[in-house]
Amino acid sequence: MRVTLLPALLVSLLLAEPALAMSCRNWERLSPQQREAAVEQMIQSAVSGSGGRSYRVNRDAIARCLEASSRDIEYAFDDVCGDSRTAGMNAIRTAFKNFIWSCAP
Amino acid sequence: MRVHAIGAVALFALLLSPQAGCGSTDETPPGGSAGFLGDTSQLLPGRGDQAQLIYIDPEADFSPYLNVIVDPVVVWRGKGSDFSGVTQEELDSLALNLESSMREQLAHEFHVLDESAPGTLRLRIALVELQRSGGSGADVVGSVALELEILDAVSGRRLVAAADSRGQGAGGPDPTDVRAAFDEWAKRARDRLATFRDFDAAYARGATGP
Repeated sequence: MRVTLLPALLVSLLLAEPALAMSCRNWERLSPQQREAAVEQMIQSAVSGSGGRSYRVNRDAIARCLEASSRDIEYAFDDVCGDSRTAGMNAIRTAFKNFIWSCAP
Repeated sequence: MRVHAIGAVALFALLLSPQAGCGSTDETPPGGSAGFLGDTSQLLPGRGDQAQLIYIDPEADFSPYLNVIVDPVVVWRGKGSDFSGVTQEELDSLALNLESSMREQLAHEFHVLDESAPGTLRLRIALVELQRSGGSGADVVGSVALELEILDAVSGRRLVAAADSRGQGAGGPDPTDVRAAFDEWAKRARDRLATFRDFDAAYARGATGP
């Protein structure tokens, strides 16, 4: 069962820092369960749509695609954080945006 | 499937080969070397089966961007560009059509402006390839490719650069309705930029606490 079903409070308690502000240093310290929770939190943040002016954006489809890619997202975070050339402060944020880009229907 | 960055040599090969990396999809990298994007060394292939090329500024924060400027779409005749069988008049009309699609779709999520202001994205778009395949409809072409750059309208800083194409399947050119492809690209641009903005807004809130 994916963390999607866990209460948001539990997800927050699992993470030492907000998932959206995750650094590579802290990503590498997370347990597999915490990594899954962090990715889930990012997905929900991306599709919350609070800043949108309309409902034209198919956020459900983007969310489904990101959920289906969650394991790949974790691998991508491992990759960027494992390479000193890409493991900057915004490495995880940028890697996640690449998935948003490819998930737009 | 893990995401891997590939080296410059492999990227160049991908750019040169219209069939490379597309598998069963109809998305292949267009001539990123056509020159419209200038420096393409930052661009890497998109993930998965999508062979599009993409660069996203790691430092970019899209949360302040509520406005957008869409520059007139350019027909770019650079190195490798191919507009076989399409008249200049048709190209001009299609460029206007793409610009119109972008404005229409982006207007659902952004204020579309004509002059730069703080919090404004500027979209530069070029058609770099359009080949007629002999299809029956006036809008049916064999392949169409574009390059896109998104800048901060005030500073000119590059936030996103991308290259994409339609209609070059593994079995050769497939008929593509070019206006449908334009609408699809415009909707994708809208969805991607709106989601970037929402994600970065949530990031800002998360980084600073509730």
